[in-house]
Amino acid sequence: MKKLIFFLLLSSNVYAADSQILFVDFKHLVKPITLNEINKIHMNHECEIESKKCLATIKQKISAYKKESKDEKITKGHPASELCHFAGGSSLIYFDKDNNEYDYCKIGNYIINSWDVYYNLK
Amino acid sequence: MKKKLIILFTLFSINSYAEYPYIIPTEDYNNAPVKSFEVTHMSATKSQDDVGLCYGFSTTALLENFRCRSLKISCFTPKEQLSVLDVSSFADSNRRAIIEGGLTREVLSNFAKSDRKVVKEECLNYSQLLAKNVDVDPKDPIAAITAKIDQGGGISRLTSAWNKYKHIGEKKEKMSKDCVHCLAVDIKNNMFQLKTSVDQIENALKFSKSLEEFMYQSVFPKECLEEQNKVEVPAFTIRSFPENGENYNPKILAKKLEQVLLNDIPVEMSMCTVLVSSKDTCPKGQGHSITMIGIRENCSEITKKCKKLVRIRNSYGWDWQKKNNQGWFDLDTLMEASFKFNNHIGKQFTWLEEPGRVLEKRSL
Repeated sequence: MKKLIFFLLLSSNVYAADSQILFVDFKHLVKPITLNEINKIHMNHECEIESKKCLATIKQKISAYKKESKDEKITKGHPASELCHFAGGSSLIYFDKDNNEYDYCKIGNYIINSWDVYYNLK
Repeated sequence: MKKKLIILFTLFSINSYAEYPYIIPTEDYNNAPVKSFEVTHMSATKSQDDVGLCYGFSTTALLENFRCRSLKISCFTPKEQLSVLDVSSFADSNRRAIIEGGLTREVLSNFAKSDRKVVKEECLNYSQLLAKNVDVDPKDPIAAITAKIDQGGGISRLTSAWNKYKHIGEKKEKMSKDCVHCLAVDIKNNMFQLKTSVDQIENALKFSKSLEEFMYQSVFPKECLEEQNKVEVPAFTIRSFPENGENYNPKILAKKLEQVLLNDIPVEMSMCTVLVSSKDTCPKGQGHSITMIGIRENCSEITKKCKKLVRIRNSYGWDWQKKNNQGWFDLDTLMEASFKFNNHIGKQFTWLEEPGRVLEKRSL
Protein backbone atom coordinates (compact mmCIF):
# COMPACT_ATOMS: atom_id res chain seq x y z
CA MET A 1 0.00 0.00 0.00
CA LYS A 2 2.81 2.38 0.89
CA LYS A 3 4.54 1.57 -2.38
CA LEU A 4 1.31 2.29 -4.28
CA ILE A 5 0.94 5.68 -2.58
CA PHE A 6 4.60 6.44 -3.33
CA PHE A 7 4.11 5.56 -7.00
CA LEU A 8 0.93 7.63 -7.26
CA LEU A 9 2.62 10.63 -5.69
CA LEU A 10 5.49 10.40 -8.16
CA SER A 11 3.27 9.95 -11.17
CA SER A 12 1.26 13.04 -10.29
CA ASN A 13 4.32 14.90 -11.50
CA VAL A 14 2.94 14.48 -15.05
CA TYR A 15 2.13 17.84 -16.62
CA ALA A 16 -1.64 18.19 -17.01
CA ALA A 17 -2.88 19.24 -20.45
CA ASP A 18 -4.70 22.55 -20.64
CA SER A 19 -6.04 24.88 -23.29
CA GLN A 20 -5.26 28.50 -23.92
CA ILE A 21 -8.20 30.67 -24.99
CA LEU A 22 -6.68 33.79 -26.48
CA PHE A 23 -7.60 36.87 -28.47
CA VAL A 24 -5.73 37.56 -31.67
CA ASP A 25 -6.20 41.34 -31.38
CA PHE A 26 -5.38 43.83 -28.64
CA LYS A 27 -8.89 45.30 -28.48
CA HIS A 28 -10.56 41.84 -28.26
CA LEU A 29 -12.88 42.68 -31.17
CA VAL A 30 -12.37 39.27 -32.81
CA LYS A 31 -13.73 36.12 -31.15
CA PRO A 32 -11.03 34.32 -29.14
CA ILE A 33 -9.46 31.13 -30.39
CA THR A 34 -8.71 27.93 -28.49
CA LEU A 35 -5.25 26.40 -28.59
CA ASN A 36 -5.20 22.91 -27.13
CA GLU A 37 -2.16 21.23 -25.64
CA ILE A 38 -0.83 18.05 -27.26
CA ASN A 39 2.40 16.58 -25.92
CA LYS A 40 3.18 19.81 -24.04
CA ILE A 41 2.75 21.98 -27.15
CA HIS A 42 -0.17 24.38 -27.47
CA MET A 43 -1.31 24.43 -31.07
CA ASN A 44 -4.08 25.49 -33.44
CA HIS A 45 -6.69 23.17 -34.92
CA GLU A 46 -4.75 22.60 -38.15
CA CYS A 47 -1.77 21.32 -36.20
CA GLU A 48 -3.92 19.36 -33.80
CA ILE A 49 -5.75 17.31 -36.45
CA GLU A 50 -2.44 16.13 -37.88
CA SER A 51 -0.33 16.55 -34.78
CA LYS A 52 2.28 13.92 -35.63
CA LYS A 53 3.02 15.50 -38.99
CA CYS A 54 2.88 19.01 -37.51
CA LEU A 55 5.31 18.27 -34.71
CA ALA A 56 7.60 16.30 -37.02
CA THR A 57 7.70 19.27 -39.41
CA ILE A 58 8.61 21.68 -36.66
CA LYS A 59 11.25 19.36 -35.23
CA GLN A 60 12.82 19.02 -38.65
CA LYS A 61 12.89 22.79 -39.16
CA ILE A 62 14.56 23.47 -35.83
CA SER A 63 16.90 20.48 -35.94
CA ALA A 64 19.78 22.58 -37.24
CA TYR A 65 19.39 25.17 -34.50
CA LYS A 66 22.33 25.08 -32.19
CA LYS A 67 22.41 26.88 -28.98
CA GLU A 68 25.57 28.87 -29.50
CA SER A 69 27.60 30.09 -26.63
CA LYS A 70 26.07 33.26 -25.28
CA ASP A 71 29.43 34.93 -25.52
CA GLU A 72 29.48 34.44 -29.28
CA LYS A 73 25.94 35.31 -30.11
CA ILE A 74 24.12 38.58 -29.88
CA THR A 75 20.45 37.96 -29.23
CA LYS A 76 18.37 41.09 -29.49
CA GLY A 77 14.98 39.67 -28.75
CA HIS A 78 13.92 36.66 -26.75
CA PRO A 79 15.15 33.19 -27.69
CA ALA A 80 11.75 31.65 -28.47
CA SER A 81 11.04 34.22 -31.18
CA GLU A 82 14.55 33.77 -32.55
CA LEU A 83 13.92 30.04 -32.83
CA CYS A 84 10.60 30.70 -34.56
CA HIS A 85 12.27 32.85 -37.20
CA PHE A 86 15.09 30.34 -37.57
CA ALA A 87 12.46 27.76 -38.45
CA GLY A 88 11.04 30.08 -41.10
CA GLY A 89 8.04 30.99 -39.00
CA SER A 90 6.32 34.32 -38.38
CA SER A 91 5.76 35.72 -34.92
CA LEU A 92 2.27 36.18 -33.60
CA ILE A 93 1.36 37.80 -30.32
CA TYR A 94 -1.92 36.72 -28.74
CA PHE A 95 -3.68 38.19 -25.71
CA ASP A 96 -5.60 36.81 -22.76
CA LYS A 97 -8.52 38.65 -21.15
CA ASP A 98 -6.11 40.86 -19.16
CA ASN A 99 -3.97 41.53 -22.25
CA ASN A 100 -1.07 39.47 -20.99
CA GLU A 101 0.82 38.51 -24.14
CA TYR A 102 1.57 35.03 -25.47
CA ASP A 103 4.15 34.25 -28.13
CA TYR A 104 3.04 32.04 -30.99
CA CYS A 105 4.79 30.98 -34.18
CA LYS A 106 3.12 30.49 -37.55
CA ILE A 107 4.76 27.96 -39.86
CA GLY A 108 2.63 27.38 -42.91
CA ASN A 109 -0.87 26.65 -41.58
CA TYR A 110 0.41 25.54 -38.20
CA ILE A 111 0.32 27.92 -35.25
CA ILE A 112 2.21 26.74 -32.18
CA ASN A 113 3.26 28.21 -28.87
CA SER A 114 6.82 29.53 -29.27
CA TRP A 115 7.94 28.88 -25.70
CA ASP A 116 6.46 25.36 -25.72
CA VAL A 117 8.56 24.64 -28.81
CA TYR A 118 11.67 26.25 -27.31
CA TYR A 119 11.51 24.30 -24.08
CA ASN A 120 10.11 20.97 -25.29
CA LEU A 121 11.27 20.43 -28.86
CA LYS A 122 14.61 22.22 -29.15
CA MET B 1 6.44 10.48 9.21
CA LYS B 2 6.98 14.21 8.74
CA LYS B 3 10.49 13.60 7.40
CA LYS B 4 9.18 11.02 4.95
CA LEU B 5 6.59 13.46 3.67
CA ILE B 6 9.22 16.14 3.23
CA ILE B 7 11.43 13.74 1.26
CA LEU B 8 8.47 12.77 -0.90
CA PHE B 9 7.63 16.42 -1.47
CA THR B 10 11.15 17.17 -2.66
CA LEU B 11 10.79 14.46 -5.28
CA PHE B 12 8.12 16.54 -6.97
CA SER B 13 9.93 18.46 -9.64
CA ILE B 14 8.80 21.96 -10.30
CA ASN B 15 8.57 22.82 -13.99
CA SER B 16 11.41 25.24 -14.42
CA TYR B 17 13.55 25.93 -17.44
CA ALA B 18 15.36 29.12 -16.59
CA GLU B 19 19.08 29.56 -16.84
CA TYR B 20 21.53 32.16 -15.55
CA PRO B 21 20.79 34.66 -14.15
CA TYR B 22 17.24 33.40 -13.58
CA ILE B 23 17.95 30.87 -10.86
CA ILE B 24 15.13 29.14 -9.02
CA PRO B 25 16.14 27.93 -5.55
CA THR B 26 15.96 24.22 -4.85
CA GLU B 27 12.59 22.67 -4.13
CA ASP B 28 12.92 22.77 -0.37
CA TYR B 29 12.76 26.59 -0.56
CA ASN B 30 9.60 26.59 -2.62
CA ASN B 31 7.03 26.02 0.06
CA ALA B 32 4.82 28.85 1.28
CA PRO B 33 6.79 32.08 1.71
CA VAL B 34 7.37 33.34 5.22
CA LYS B 35 7.00 36.97 4.10
CA SER B 36 5.93 38.25 0.69
CA PHE B 37 5.13 41.53 -1.03
CA GLU B 38 4.15 42.41 -4.58
CA VAL B 39 3.89 45.87 -6.10
CA THR B 40 0.35 46.97 -6.87
CA HIS B 41 -0.95 48.67 -10.04
CA MET B 42 1.19 46.63 -12.42
CA SER B 43 0.09 46.26 -16.02
CA ALA B 44 -0.03 43.18 -18.26
CA THR B 45 3.00 41.03 -19.11
CA LYS B 46 4.23 41.77 -22.61
CA SER B 47 6.56 40.30 -25.22
CA GLN B 48 9.39 42.03 -27.06
CA ASP B 49 9.48 39.28 -29.71
CA ASP B 50 12.77 39.51 -31.64
CA VAL B 51 13.34 43.23 -31.17
CA GLY B 52 16.02 44.66 -28.88
CA LEU B 53 13.60 46.92 -26.99
CA CYS B 54 13.77 45.31 -23.56
CA TYR B 55 14.58 48.73 -22.09
CA GLY B 56 11.46 50.17 -23.76
CA PHE B 57 9.29 47.51 -22.11
CA SER B 58 10.79 48.19 -18.71
CA THR B 59 10.35 51.94 -19.14
CA THR B 60 6.74 51.48 -20.21
CA ALA B 61 6.08 49.27 -17.19
CA LEU B 62 7.42 51.97 -14.86
CA LEU B 63 5.40 54.75 -16.53
CA GLU B 64 2.20 52.70 -16.59
CA ASN B 65 2.57 51.78 -12.94
CA PHE B 66 3.35 55.37 -11.93
CA ARG B 67 0.38 56.74 -13.86
CA CYS B 68 -2.06 54.10 -12.61
CA ARG B 69 -0.81 54.48 -9.03
CA SER B 70 -1.07 58.29 -9.19
CA LEU B 71 -4.51 58.32 -10.79
CA LYS B 72 -5.73 55.26 -8.83
CA ILE B 73 -6.89 53.43 -11.94
CA SER B 74 -6.51 49.87 -13.17
CA CYS B 75 -3.55 49.26 -15.41
CA PHE B 76 -5.21 46.24 -17.00
CA THR B 77 -7.73 48.30 -18.94
CA PRO B 78 -6.56 48.25 -22.58
CA LYS B 79 -7.25 51.96 -23.12
CA GLU B 80 -4.90 52.82 -20.25
CA GLN B 81 -1.95 50.89 -21.67
CA LEU B 82 0.88 52.96 -23.12
CA SER B 83 2.45 52.29 -26.50
CA VAL B 84 5.83 50.62 -26.00
CA LEU B 85 6.94 51.86 -29.41
CA ASP B 86 6.06 55.45 -28.55
CA VAL B 87 7.76 55.27 -25.15
CA SER B 88 10.87 53.68 -26.68
CA SER B 89 11.04 56.44 -29.30
CA PHE B 90 12.23 58.84 -26.60
CA ALA B 91 15.56 56.98 -26.50
CA ASP B 92 17.11 59.66 -28.70
CA SER B 93 17.13 63.17 -27.29
CA ASN B 94 17.04 64.84 -30.71
CA ARG B 95 14.54 62.88 -32.76
CA ARG B 96 11.91 60.20 -32.42
CA ALA B 97 13.40 56.87 -33.44
CA ILE B 98 13.22 53.14 -32.72
CA ILE B 99 16.65 52.15 -31.44
CA GLU B 100 17.56 48.61 -30.47
CA GLY B 101 19.54 48.72 -27.25
CA GLY B 102 19.15 51.59 -24.83
CA LEU B 103 18.83 52.69 -21.22
CA THR B 104 15.63 53.24 -19.28
CA ARG B 105 16.90 56.28 -17.42
CA GLU B 106 17.80 58.04 -20.69
CA VAL B 107 14.35 57.38 -22.14
CA LEU B 108 12.74 58.69 -18.96
CA SER B 109 14.99 61.74 -18.92
CA ASN B 110 14.07 62.66 -22.50
CA PHE B 111 10.40 61.92 -21.86
CA ALA B 112 10.33 64.10 -18.76
CA LYS B 113 11.46 67.07 -20.89
CA SER B 114 8.51 66.59 -23.27
CA ASP B 115 4.79 67.24 -22.64
CA ARG B 116 4.73 63.80 -20.96
CA LYS B 117 2.03 62.57 -23.34
CA VAL B 118 2.22 59.06 -24.72
CA VAL B 119 0.26 57.41 -27.49
CA LYS B 120 -2.03 54.62 -26.32
CA GLU B 121 -1.06 51.04 -27.13
CA GLU B 122 -4.45 50.54 -28.84
CA CYS B 123 -3.44 53.14 -31.45
CA LEU B 124 0.26 52.35 -31.90
CA ASN B 125 0.28 48.63 -31.18
CA TYR B 126 3.56 46.74 -30.88
CA SER B 127 2.21 43.96 -33.08
CA GLN B 128 2.68 46.33 -36.03
CA LEU B 129 6.35 45.40 -35.91
CA LEU B 130 5.62 41.73 -36.57
CA ALA B 131 6.14 40.46 -40.11
CA LYS B 132 5.23 37.35 -42.03
CA ASN B 133 7.84 35.22 -43.66
CA VAL B 134 7.30 34.49 -47.33
CA ASP B 135 7.39 31.00 -48.77
CA VAL B 136 10.46 30.58 -50.96
CA ASP B 137 10.58 28.71 -54.27
CA PRO B 138 13.40 26.21 -53.69
CA LYS B 139 14.21 26.29 -57.41
CA ASP B 140 14.93 30.02 -57.39
CA PRO B 141 18.35 30.56 -55.73
CA ILE B 142 18.20 34.38 -55.99
CA ALA B 143 14.81 34.51 -54.30
CA ALA B 144 16.11 32.16 -51.62
CA ILE B 145 19.05 34.44 -50.85
CA THR B 146 16.87 37.54 -50.80
CA ALA B 147 14.26 35.85 -48.64
CA LYS B 148 16.90 34.71 -46.20
CA ILE B 149 17.98 38.31 -45.75
CA ASP B 150 14.38 39.41 -45.38
CA GLN B 151 13.26 36.65 -43.06
CA GLY B 152 12.54 37.50 -39.50
CA GLY B 153 10.54 40.14 -37.74
CA GLY B 154 9.53 43.58 -38.87
CA ILE B 155 12.79 45.16 -37.78
CA SER B 156 14.67 42.87 -40.19
CA ARG B 157 12.31 43.82 -43.02
CA LEU B 158 12.57 47.53 -42.35
CA THR B 159 16.34 47.28 -42.08
CA SER B 160 16.55 45.34 -45.32
CA ALA B 161 14.37 47.91 -47.13
CA TRP B 162 16.44 50.79 -45.77
CA ASN B 163 19.70 49.13 -46.83
CA LYS B 164 18.35 48.55 -50.32
CA TYR B 165 17.20 52.15 -50.62
CA LYS B 166 20.52 53.45 -49.37
CA HIS B 167 22.53 50.98 -51.47
CA ILE B 168 24.11 49.55 -48.35
CA GLY B 169 25.56 46.05 -48.70
CA GLU B 170 26.75 43.98 -51.60
CA LYS B 171 24.05 44.79 -54.09
CA LYS B 172 24.42 48.31 -55.42
CA GLU B 173 21.41 48.65 -57.67
CA LYS B 174 20.38 51.98 -59.02
CA MET B 175 17.13 52.77 -57.27
CA SER B 176 14.49 54.22 -59.54
CA LYS B 177 11.48 56.08 -58.17
CA ASP B 178 9.30 53.07 -58.93
CA CYS B 179 11.53 50.84 -56.85
CA VAL B 180 11.19 53.13 -53.84
CA HIS B 181 7.45 52.69 -54.18
CA CYS B 182 7.99 48.94 -54.60
CA LEU B 183 9.97 48.80 -51.36
CA ALA B 184 7.14 50.59 -49.55
CA VAL B 185 4.55 48.21 -51.03
CA ASP B 186 6.65 45.21 -50.03
CA ILE B 187 6.87 46.47 -46.45
CA LYS B 188 3.13 47.08 -46.30
CA ASN B 189 2.36 43.61 -47.69
CA ASN B 190 4.67 41.74 -45.35
CA MET B 191 4.19 43.67 -42.13
CA PHE B 192 0.59 42.66 -42.03
CA GLN B 193 -0.48 44.69 -39.02
CA LEU B 194 0.93 48.05 -40.14
CA LYS B 195 -1.63 50.86 -40.07
CA THR B 196 0.52 53.35 -41.95
CA SER B 197 -0.08 53.95 -45.65
CA VAL B 198 2.27 53.06 -48.50
CA ASP B 199 2.73 56.79 -49.15
CA GLN B 200 3.79 57.39 -45.56
CA ILE B 201 6.28 54.50 -45.71
CA GLU B 202 7.64 55.83 -49.01
CA ASN B 203 8.11 59.31 -47.53
CA ALA B 204 9.76 57.78 -44.48
CA LEU B 205 12.30 56.12 -46.79
CA LYS B 206 13.00 59.33 -48.65
CA PHE B 207 13.14 61.84 -45.80
CA SER B 208 14.44 60.00 -42.74
CA LYS B 209 18.01 60.79 -41.75
CA SER B 210 18.72 57.38 -40.21
CA LEU B 211 17.49 53.79 -40.13
CA GLU B 212 16.13 54.29 -36.61
CA GLU B 213 14.15 57.36 -37.59
CA PHE B 214 12.85 55.55 -40.69
CA MET B 215 11.60 52.67 -38.52
CA TYR B 216 9.67 55.05 -36.28
CA GLN B 217 8.16 57.01 -39.19
CA SER B 218 7.15 53.77 -40.94
CA VAL B 219 5.10 52.39 -38.07
CA PHE B 220 3.61 55.60 -36.60
CA PRO B 221 0.08 56.21 -37.98
CA LYS B 222 -0.79 59.91 -38.25
CA GLU B 223 -4.08 59.48 -36.40
CA CYS B 224 -2.12 58.64 -33.27
CA LEU B 225 -1.12 62.30 -33.08
CA GLU B 226 -4.73 63.18 -32.20
CA GLU B 227 -5.34 64.01 -28.55
CA GLN B 228 -7.90 61.27 -27.95
CA ASN B 229 -5.23 58.69 -28.77
CA LYS B 230 -2.83 59.95 -26.13
CA VAL B 231 -2.63 59.92 -22.34
CA GLU B 232 -0.63 62.15 -20.02
CA VAL B 233 1.69 60.84 -17.33
CA PRO B 234 1.75 62.95 -14.15
CA ALA B 235 5.01 64.68 -13.25
CA PHE B 236 7.61 62.39 -11.68
CA THR B 237 11.12 62.31 -10.27
CA ILE B 238 13.58 59.82 -11.75
CA ARG B 239 15.72 57.97 -9.23
CA SER B 240 18.75 55.80 -9.94
CA PHE B 241 20.97 53.70 -7.75
CA PRO B 242 23.83 53.77 -7.26
CA GLU B 243 24.28 57.40 -8.06
CA ASN B 244 27.69 58.67 -9.11
CA GLY B 245 30.44 57.91 -6.67
CA GLU B 246 28.46 55.70 -4.32
CA ASN B 247 30.19 52.54 -3.19
CA TYR B 248 28.15 49.46 -3.76
CA ASN B 249 28.20 45.69 -3.96
CA PRO B 250 25.51 43.04 -4.56
CA LYS B 251 24.39 43.12 -0.93
CA ILE B 252 23.95 46.90 -1.00
CA LEU B 253 21.98 46.56 -4.24
CA ALA B 254 19.73 43.96 -2.63
CA LYS B 255 19.04 46.13 0.39
CA LYS B 256 18.14 49.14 -1.74
CA LEU B 257 15.93 47.06 -3.99
CA GLU B 258 14.06 45.69 -1.00
CA GLN B 259 13.44 49.18 0.35
CA VAL B 260 12.08 50.56 -2.92
CA LEU B 261 9.86 47.53 -3.64
CA LEU B 262 8.39 47.64 -0.14
CA ASN B 263 7.46 51.27 -0.81
CA ASP B 264 5.21 49.81 -3.54
CA ILE B 265 7.41 50.98 -6.42
CA PRO B 266 8.62 48.73 -9.27
CA VAL B 267 12.31 48.93 -10.13
CA GLU B 268 13.98 48.64 -13.52
CA MET B 269 17.25 46.79 -13.46
CA SER B 270 20.02 46.48 -16.02
CA MET B 271 22.05 43.29 -15.88
CA CYS B 272 24.38 41.00 -17.73
CA THR B 273 22.78 37.77 -18.91
CA VAL B 274 26.04 35.82 -19.03
CA LEU B 275 28.32 34.93 -16.18
CA VAL B 276 31.44 37.10 -16.24
CA SER B 277 34.31 37.40 -13.80
CA SER B 278 34.54 40.52 -11.70
CA LYS B 279 37.28 41.91 -13.96
CA ASP B 280 35.45 41.35 -17.27
CA THR B 281 32.85 43.64 -18.74
CA CYS B 282 29.54 42.36 -19.96
CA PRO B 283 29.95 41.17 -23.58
CA LYS B 284 28.30 43.29 -26.22
CA GLY B 285 24.68 42.40 -26.80
CA GLN B 286 24.33 40.48 -23.53
CA GLY B 287 22.87 43.27 -21.46
CA HIS B 288 19.19 43.09 -20.61
CA SER B 289 16.62 45.18 -18.81
CA ILE B 290 13.91 43.74 -16.55
CA THR B 291 11.37 45.14 -14.10
CA MET B 292 11.26 43.92 -10.52
CA ILE B 293 7.85 43.80 -8.94
CA GLY B 294 7.96 41.72 -5.78
CA ILE B 295 10.09 40.29 -3.01
CA ARG B 296 9.65 37.42 -0.60
CA GLU B 297 11.49 35.21 1.83
CA ASN B 298 11.30 31.44 1.70
CA CYS B 299 12.81 29.12 4.29
CA SER B 300 13.91 25.51 3.96
CA GLU B 301 12.32 22.92 6.23
CA ILE B 302 15.41 20.76 5.79
CA THR B 303 18.27 23.21 6.33
CA LYS B 304 16.31 25.80 8.34
CA LYS B 305 17.99 28.50 6.22
CA CYS B 306 16.08 31.29 4.47
CA LYS B 307 16.52 32.84 1.03
CA LYS B 308 15.09 35.93 -0.54
CA LEU B 309 13.48 35.75 -3.93
CA VAL B 310 12.56 38.62 -6.21
CA ARG B 311 9.70 38.57 -8.69
CA ILE B 312 10.64 39.92 -12.09
CA ARG B 313 8.52 41.04 -14.99
CA ASN B 314 10.46 40.02 -18.09
CA SER B 315 9.47 41.14 -21.59
CA TYR B 316 9.34 37.52 -22.74
CA GLY B 317 5.57 37.08 -22.56
CA TRP B 318 3.29 35.38 -20.08
CA ASP B 319 4.26 31.79 -20.93
CA TRP B 320 7.87 32.45 -19.96
CA GLN B 321 6.69 33.77 -16.57
CA LYS B 322 4.46 30.72 -16.01
CA LYS B 323 7.13 28.24 -17.00
CA ASN B 324 9.71 29.89 -14.75
CA ASN B 325 8.30 29.85 -11.23
CA GLN B 326 5.90 32.71 -12.06
CA GLY B 327 8.92 34.99 -12.31
CA TRP B 328 10.28 34.36 -8.78
CA PHE B 329 14.06 33.96 -8.78
CA ASP B 330 17.00 33.94 -6.43
CA LEU B 331 17.70 37.53 -5.38
CA ASP B 332 21.45 37.09 -4.80
CA THR B 333 22.12 35.78 -8.32
CA LEU B 334 20.24 38.65 -9.94
CA MET B 335 22.09 41.19 -7.83
CA GLU B 336 25.41 39.64 -8.93
CA ALA B 337 24.27 39.87 -12.56
CA SER B 338 23.36 43.51 -12.10
CA PHE B 339 26.57 44.32 -10.23
CA LYS B 340 28.60 43.02 -13.19
CA PHE B 341 26.73 45.07 -15.73
CA ASN B 342 27.99 48.34 -17.14
CA ASN B 343 31.53 47.91 -15.88
CA HIS B 344 30.65 48.88 -12.34
CA ILE B 345 29.80 52.48 -13.19
CA GLY B 346 26.52 52.36 -11.35
CA LYS B 347 22.91 53.30 -11.99
CA GLN B 348 21.82 49.70 -12.34
CA PHE B 349 18.43 50.53 -10.82
CA THR B 350 15.92 53.11 -12.02
CA TRP B 351 12.50 53.94 -10.61
CA LEU B 352 9.96 56.75 -10.45
CA GLU B 353 8.78 58.67 -7.42
CA GLU B 354 6.16 61.33 -6.86
CA PRO B 355 7.93 64.73 -6.65
CA GLY B 356 8.89 65.44 -3.07
CA ARG B 357 8.32 61.88 -1.86
CA VAL B 358 10.71 60.45 0.73
CA LEU B 359 10.92 56.67 0.78
CA GLU B 360 10.36 54.97 4.10
CA LYS B 361 13.06 52.68 5.42
CA ARG B 362 11.51 49.25 5.07
CA SER B 363 12.64 45.64 5.03
CA LEU B 364 10.84 42.32 4.94
